[in-house]
Amino acid sequence: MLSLRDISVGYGDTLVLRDVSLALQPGQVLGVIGRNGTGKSTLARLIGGELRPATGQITLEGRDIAAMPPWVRARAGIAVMPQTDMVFDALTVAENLALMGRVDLGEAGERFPRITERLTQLAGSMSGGERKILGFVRAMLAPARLVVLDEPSEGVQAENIAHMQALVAAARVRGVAVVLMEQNIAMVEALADVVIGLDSGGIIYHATGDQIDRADMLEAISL
Amino acid sequence: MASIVVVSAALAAALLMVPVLGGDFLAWQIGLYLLYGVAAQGVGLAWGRGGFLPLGNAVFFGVAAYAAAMALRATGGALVPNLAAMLVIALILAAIAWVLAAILFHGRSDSGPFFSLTTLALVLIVAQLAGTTPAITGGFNGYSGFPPLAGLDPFGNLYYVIVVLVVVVSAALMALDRLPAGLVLRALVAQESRLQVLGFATNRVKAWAFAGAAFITALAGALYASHQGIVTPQATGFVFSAELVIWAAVGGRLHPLGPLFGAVAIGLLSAELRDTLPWWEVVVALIFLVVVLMAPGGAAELVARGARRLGWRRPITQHSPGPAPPSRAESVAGALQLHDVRLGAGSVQILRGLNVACPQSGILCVIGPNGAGKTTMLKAITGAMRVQSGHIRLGDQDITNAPPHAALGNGIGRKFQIPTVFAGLSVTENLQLAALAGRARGVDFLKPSAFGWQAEPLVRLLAHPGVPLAGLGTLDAGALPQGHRQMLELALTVGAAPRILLLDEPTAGMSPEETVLMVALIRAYQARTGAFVLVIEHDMALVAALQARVLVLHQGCALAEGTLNAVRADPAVAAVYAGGAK
Repeated sequence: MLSLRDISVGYGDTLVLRDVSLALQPGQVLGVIGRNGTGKSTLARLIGGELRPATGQITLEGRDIAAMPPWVRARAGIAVMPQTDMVFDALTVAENLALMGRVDLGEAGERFPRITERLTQLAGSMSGGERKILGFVRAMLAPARLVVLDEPSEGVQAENIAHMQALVAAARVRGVAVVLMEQNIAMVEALADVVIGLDSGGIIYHATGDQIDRADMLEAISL
Repeated sequence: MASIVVVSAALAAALLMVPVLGGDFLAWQIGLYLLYGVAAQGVGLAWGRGGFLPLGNAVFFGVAAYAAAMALRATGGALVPNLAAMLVIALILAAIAWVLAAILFHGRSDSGPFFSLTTLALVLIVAQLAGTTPAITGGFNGYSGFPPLAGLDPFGNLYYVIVVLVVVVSAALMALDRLPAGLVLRALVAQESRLQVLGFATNRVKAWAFAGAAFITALAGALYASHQGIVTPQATGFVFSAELVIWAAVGGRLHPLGPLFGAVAIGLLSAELRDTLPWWEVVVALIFLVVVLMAPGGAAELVARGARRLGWRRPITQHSPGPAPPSRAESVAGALQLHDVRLGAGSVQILRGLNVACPQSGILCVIGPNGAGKTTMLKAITGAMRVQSGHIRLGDQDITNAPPHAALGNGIGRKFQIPTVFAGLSVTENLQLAALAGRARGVDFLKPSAFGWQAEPLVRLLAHPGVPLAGLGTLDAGALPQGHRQMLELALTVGAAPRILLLDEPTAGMSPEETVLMVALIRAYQARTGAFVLVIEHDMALVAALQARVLVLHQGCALAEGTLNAVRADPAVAAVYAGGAK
């Protein structure tokens, strides 16, 4: 459903990714690992539409979306949870969720009771970890076919990471494709169907299914 | 500094050619626009450098003009006494501006619309007063009938005095950009709350910027009286205040010469169009719109863009390294204690009677479920959130609700949960701020040599194997990836050698390799300085690696404290919290 062909992208004259190609099918989880500064967040911004590719092609279900602005991509079914600024601090928790058109939280509400308890609280007054969880829930509740999660587990306690994993797994069953940028190798190992490791502007590690191995991944991010 | 001399000389030469090539009337006309330009440079200093927009700077211009006119009438225009009077008038207005800004920005970490609206109200009041007190100001007809400065003909040699003012003010503003004081101002605009944690009382930083703005605006206003021979309420009015903002915006508020250029260019253009076009104001307004939409940094930005395209790069000044003075933060002693601290945000109670007794030295890891109050505890300690009841003590000293900028003076350094660096400033400039924090005082901010200060904690940090910062010098700190930001923020936090180091999730977003490095850096700092280091962390492997005591928070209270194994075995902890590893 998502395809990147020979994509180069960066900021101004500085390219962060060069000639990167990858493809993702519905219901697949793509784990993206790599040291800091290797382009994970840049890839998230590219898919979300914040950045336009310098060269190459990006398609969603065969349609070229390179020039499509972020809000049109959201309508086309791409939900993004950025690494920072993942919630609207000045809105309440309920308003943050209402922007996704959802009031009923379903399983997410059961797994994160703190969210349902705090519906009337301003998102900005929640703790860093709670904001991450709210940002994650927002992205997962969006009517999306492709969800991009940029480091959702950062600052989140282990118990809640397990809940996040369960919700991603459930989304996968519904046919939602997920791109997961993570430093948390255990989370990637638990969820990903395909893993790519980024370094020096390109893909230095690629594994699918049973080939995905924790030791290999750790090696790939510590070069 | 050589470039300042060259630019100032070029500016002086260009302005001195005006009467030669254009005659006395043009010099008189441009002299007026130059005075407006200096006033607009004041707006540029406050808005472009300080990040707060004054909508009432005509007050300083107009009041100085009235006061100078009255002095001229009282003294019959005698040159030296009146020049001295102008200086005194400008200093008094600068002092008033300092106090006004210090009060308005007190206890805040933003520059929001409240300041602009207050100055707007001020200009409306002063203009109203000027227009309705004919006995003092001449009312709407204006104040006139005073002699010009003796020996300085408004259509002759007064122009050269104006040129001196323009060149001196421009050179001073260009110099400011190259001094530590200028760096502090840029850091203020980039990230005010971080600057406060580095020990800077930002309301006073802004007060100095506003006082500087008022001073140069008032000097221009004082000369305006002699130049025009009449002062009307318009000189203190809102329309003139707005024009100052427009000139600064069109010329470029971020460049010292931008507002000057904006005032002269628009002044000349308006004078030209006024005689030829009935709708000339619309044309000027359209030019304003086009410039600010195409280049938010004004004409100065367009020039800078063009220069970059031609391959020009601002040369990087190398500062020779020198010893840094001692830091205020390293000599503080005493253990940190929280007694029954309660704190809430809106209807939610976050800390509910928190009691913590920290040791004088060592490492304490604080863990707890999301929302337990860990970050809020650090905010309470550093004054970022107000404690509602209870006490926070440092040894014998009560530091409850001390302002955020006082924390560093109390020996407390805090790293934020979201790595917060000064975006828009280079990595080198961030590190220079780290070296200034807690060490620079008074005139140090005017010494370029302070840029070369070698603060011991920073030297050690940068020399540590694996720390990536040394090679990143000219990069914009805002463009750094998360892990590098964490490292840079650690540098900002330890620069002043605090005796108490509060680190909020220092390894969030870091790779396992970087995490190992961060643990090594934290342990090395603690071992070398004997400091007390508090680390908030979710990663139990990291907590184990730090080999520290562990404090568990739950629902705003301390739930358990002890070794990692002891708290893990605690049934109360197991009931609310399940730790894990990356």
